[in-house]
Amino acid sequence: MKRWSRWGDLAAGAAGLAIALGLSFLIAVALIFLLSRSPLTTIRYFFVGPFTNKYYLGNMLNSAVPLILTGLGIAVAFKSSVFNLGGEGQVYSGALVTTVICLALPAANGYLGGAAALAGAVLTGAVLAGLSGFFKMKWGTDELISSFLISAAMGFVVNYFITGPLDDPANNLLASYAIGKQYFLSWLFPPSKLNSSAAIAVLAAAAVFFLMSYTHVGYEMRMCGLNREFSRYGGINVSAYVVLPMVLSGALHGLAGGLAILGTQHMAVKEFSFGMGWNGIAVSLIAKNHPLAVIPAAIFFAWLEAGAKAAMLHSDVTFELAAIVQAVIFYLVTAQAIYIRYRRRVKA
Amino acid sequence: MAYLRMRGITKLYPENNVLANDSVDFEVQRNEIHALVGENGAGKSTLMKILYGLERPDRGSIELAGRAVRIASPLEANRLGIGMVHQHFRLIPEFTIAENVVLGAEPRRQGIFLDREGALAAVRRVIGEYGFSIDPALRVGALTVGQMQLVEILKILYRRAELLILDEPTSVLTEQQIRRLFDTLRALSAIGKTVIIITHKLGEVKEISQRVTVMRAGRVVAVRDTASVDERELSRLMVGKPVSLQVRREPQERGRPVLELQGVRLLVRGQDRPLLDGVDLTVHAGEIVGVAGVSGNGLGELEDVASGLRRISGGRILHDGQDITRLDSPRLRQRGLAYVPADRLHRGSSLKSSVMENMIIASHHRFLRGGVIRRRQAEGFASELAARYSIEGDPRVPIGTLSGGNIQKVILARELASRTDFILFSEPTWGLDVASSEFIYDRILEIRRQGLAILLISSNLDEILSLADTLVVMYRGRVAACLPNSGGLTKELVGEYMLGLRQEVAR
Amino acid sequence: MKNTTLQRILGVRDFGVLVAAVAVGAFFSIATPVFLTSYNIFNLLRQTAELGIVAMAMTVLIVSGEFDLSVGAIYAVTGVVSGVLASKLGWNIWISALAGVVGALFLGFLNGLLIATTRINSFIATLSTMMVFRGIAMVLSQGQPISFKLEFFMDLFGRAELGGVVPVPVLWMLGWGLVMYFVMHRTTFGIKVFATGDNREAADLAGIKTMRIKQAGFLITSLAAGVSAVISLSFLKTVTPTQGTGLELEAIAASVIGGTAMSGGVGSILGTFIGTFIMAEVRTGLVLLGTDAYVQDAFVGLVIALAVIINVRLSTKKK
Repeated sequence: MKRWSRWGDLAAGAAGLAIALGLSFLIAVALIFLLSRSPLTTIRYFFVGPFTNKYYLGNMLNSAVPLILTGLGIAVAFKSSVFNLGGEGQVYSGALVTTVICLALPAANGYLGGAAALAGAVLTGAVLAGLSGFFKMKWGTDELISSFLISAAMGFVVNYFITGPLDDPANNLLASYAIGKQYFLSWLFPPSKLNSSAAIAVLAAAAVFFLMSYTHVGYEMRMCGLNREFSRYGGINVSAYVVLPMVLSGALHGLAGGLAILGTQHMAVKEFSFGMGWNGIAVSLIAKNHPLAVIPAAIFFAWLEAGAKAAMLHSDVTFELAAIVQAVIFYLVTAQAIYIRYRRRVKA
Repeated sequence: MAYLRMRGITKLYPENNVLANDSVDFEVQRNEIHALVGENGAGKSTLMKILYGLERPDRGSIELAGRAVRIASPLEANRLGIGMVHQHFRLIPEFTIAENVVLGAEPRRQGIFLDREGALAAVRRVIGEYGFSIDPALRVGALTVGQMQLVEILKILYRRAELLILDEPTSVLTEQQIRRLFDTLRALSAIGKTVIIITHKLGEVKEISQRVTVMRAGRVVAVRDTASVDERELSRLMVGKPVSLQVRREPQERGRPVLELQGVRLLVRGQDRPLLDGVDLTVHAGEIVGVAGVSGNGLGELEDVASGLRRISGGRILHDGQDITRLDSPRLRQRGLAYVPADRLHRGSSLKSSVMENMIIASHHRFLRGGVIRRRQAEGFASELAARYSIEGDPRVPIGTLSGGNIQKVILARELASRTDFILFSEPTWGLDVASSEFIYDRILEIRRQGLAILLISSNLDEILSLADTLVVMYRGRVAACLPNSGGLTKELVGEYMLGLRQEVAR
Repeated sequence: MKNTTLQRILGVRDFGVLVAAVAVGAFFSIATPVFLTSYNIFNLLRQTAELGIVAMAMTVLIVSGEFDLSVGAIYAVTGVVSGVLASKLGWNIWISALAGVVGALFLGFLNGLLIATTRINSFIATLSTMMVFRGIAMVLSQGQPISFKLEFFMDLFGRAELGGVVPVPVLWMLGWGLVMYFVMHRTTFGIKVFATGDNREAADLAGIKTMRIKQAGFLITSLAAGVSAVISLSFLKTVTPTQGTGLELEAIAASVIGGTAMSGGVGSILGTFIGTFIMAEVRTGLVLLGTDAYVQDAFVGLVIALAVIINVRLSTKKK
């Protein structure tokens, strides 16, 4: 048997990741050359732009915040070998519930009300994902499909509420009324939108890391994810660990939505959260499902978006550039992750 | 003239270094029903897989009706007139019999349209030609097991097979269905088909075959006319000479009954025959009960049931006189029942996890403080166990990097680490080197001295005869024999029980 | 459970779907008298035409055991490609539309290739291709809608009404449906699709090239998306890069309502057609009741969720 080296394993994984990301960059640069009349300027703004002033930098970090949380949600799920594909709907629904609670308590204390609103968001996400987990446990339904469909269904329902009963005719947006000022999270880096939700996100990452690596619940979840049959044989309640990871994953997604409202948006805008769920998957895959690595991965992803925005404002490319690059990264990283697992299985 | 001649077939499986076929010569005459017999791992399945194109031989040649052939896939085998009825049916439950039979060779109308009526008619024709009686419009999902097997046979007849291979066909059938199958086989042989039947049931060999080939450990050890050989001799040929293991087992008084199976039955939906059919078994403290049998007779099911991983359909299981039939794995462990599974790699361990994580799976509660697992204590525990069991390496490496022997030691260490009074071993030394095997035997005898009740399920007869105080043989889901291992038992005798030639239960 | 002859001919496993369609129709007929007019029925059918075409194609793919979440994006790409060629570059509309459909087929081919070479779960794989294709549509159209000149092509594919009553898209859908029906329930290809989805191992052993079957399924769904896009641009005279968002979802839902099992191996074209019809009934009925677009969407969402739960029972029956 070859001597196992932890670093060898890590190096192989990192190499694959580097290739995937490198390829994506090449594609981005190629696209810029194709689409822009002054490609060099565009490239400069795309890659360096976000760091040039406080506004861009702060906003970049701020848009990483929901990605950290959804990335954590996916990491928890993937480590337990369950697939939560309903992130989008869970984030969006969480955001709605937060908004509703804040609107329903216009005069309450900022901390108490805010906490209640976040709790609502967390609960919503947890229930939505937990439902899929429950179906899987009871009837063996593929949670991948059921979570996706339920989330999509919820998306429609939330749209209805935002554009219907909650729509504020005073603003010219398809958005709800604004929440009370006492609920706004404090600004960390004006004039950018970076707020204290960033701190909460980092805390969440630390908490998830601690949970997965040090607690017995985390241990049992991971073992179930690695080898369900072995875990059952070893005395772990395997069916509970089909539902619990989904619940936690949904809770984190819901939290992302709630924090986005309290920290950045301050009102529920139609489809404002599109992409937070999907990018969470890419973020987690880049981070190899490690809770702490999710932070830099999320920042990386946010950087792409910020770069595209800067390029769009100062040069002549459209915003879709970022979307395409993100999508390509998503695809490449997914392919790479599955490819590694496929190769390992063949070798074994 | 020989219809089929396989010469010098050699096949090595590199993953586990097993020489499944070692220069095998196999010949079948036209029109005959030829039995291919051998124990588990003798190589008969591999040989037939090669014949059917599912595997390719490393060396050797195949001749069919005098012509050399290369069989690269099941489709090619079909084209050459070779058909195989597998042990596990490959049918589509949603489709009708006719649709299943013609799948892959469907009759067409105008090139792309499926000719459903044509298919029905064609299958009816085949049914009539061979004198069966079954309605091809029935949905396969609604059939009995015997009928499903018939559909598999129809599949090969529809494709005009001349040589039929049946892999352990009677293991899923009731007595009556077996009668009907044998009538079918005789009729097929009478009209010119050639049949190879893989089996380990020597009674059936005598009943249905004209010639028999015996394989053992990858080699052909004998080819006989069925009429001229008796079952005892066949059994002797199958099990071979005893190999003495260096094991010193001292006689010892046995204590109270620790684990009892009373009338245990296991019936699975979709199977007509119960997998366990009224098993009575008792394991006492300080006693090793060895269970022998050919695979497919209930050994695996006994393992699942005695470890609590499968619910029984009838009967009771008692531990220290208390009914534990309904208890699940965590509670069984709490009560002190340990288990070393046959499937070391998937059930017994989590390959990607570290040695330490594997060791604490059942006992991690011990290291908890406020929900957190104390790493240093767990690692200390793991290192100590590793030292005691001579397991090499750092407890933090993934267990998958260890050798088979070391993995088994980890599993054993883990199981014995908690307070136990019963332990189930299944194939404990399969695939292990001699040193590791001896280590395991020493440990087993040591815990026997300490008064544990041990149930040892194994297909290695030498192992069982050396270690067991009481010997149990499983045949067709029942206990065919329960004998004290007091020196009078030989491999041949046990073999006869395993192969269904004898039935006796000593008090 | 033996199927009655009638059931087997129609390819519908049980009459539940039919009953549901009638029940929903009855409900809305009582709620608003306008529902039952021929004008409304044909209007309803016209709206379902595009969804029906895609849903029936999706059924083929789902029965074989795969999903295509990128159909909406392919639908958009076809529209945008046709638009750019016809309106921006002045090409002949027929050639532009053909190019669009060829583009769709190419994307479907890419999907199939992806699944074959990487063996990723098709759900996840087409999720990512959906994003990439959507991005392509955005880039090609620069994010703006594109309009077409009105010409005969539009009438043929979208605007004309046979006998002044039956909208042409309905005819296209019925034609497509007939073809799909024959392919699934009458050809050897169809039986191979069912076998592949029901028990892939058995199908492989029987000599069926299951991977090719699945790849064909992707080509069929992408072709459907392309054809639908052509019908859409004919009727609306406009294409937008965001069109078709949610189309894949509704197609899956229509299929599932019609009795297709998400685990594969079970499904019927007629059932999907009825399922599409039911979804259109719900939408139109809600419109006639005076609700706004988002309420309709919400209801559709609930219908989808319901479809999931129904399907849970369907799939477990199989296991």
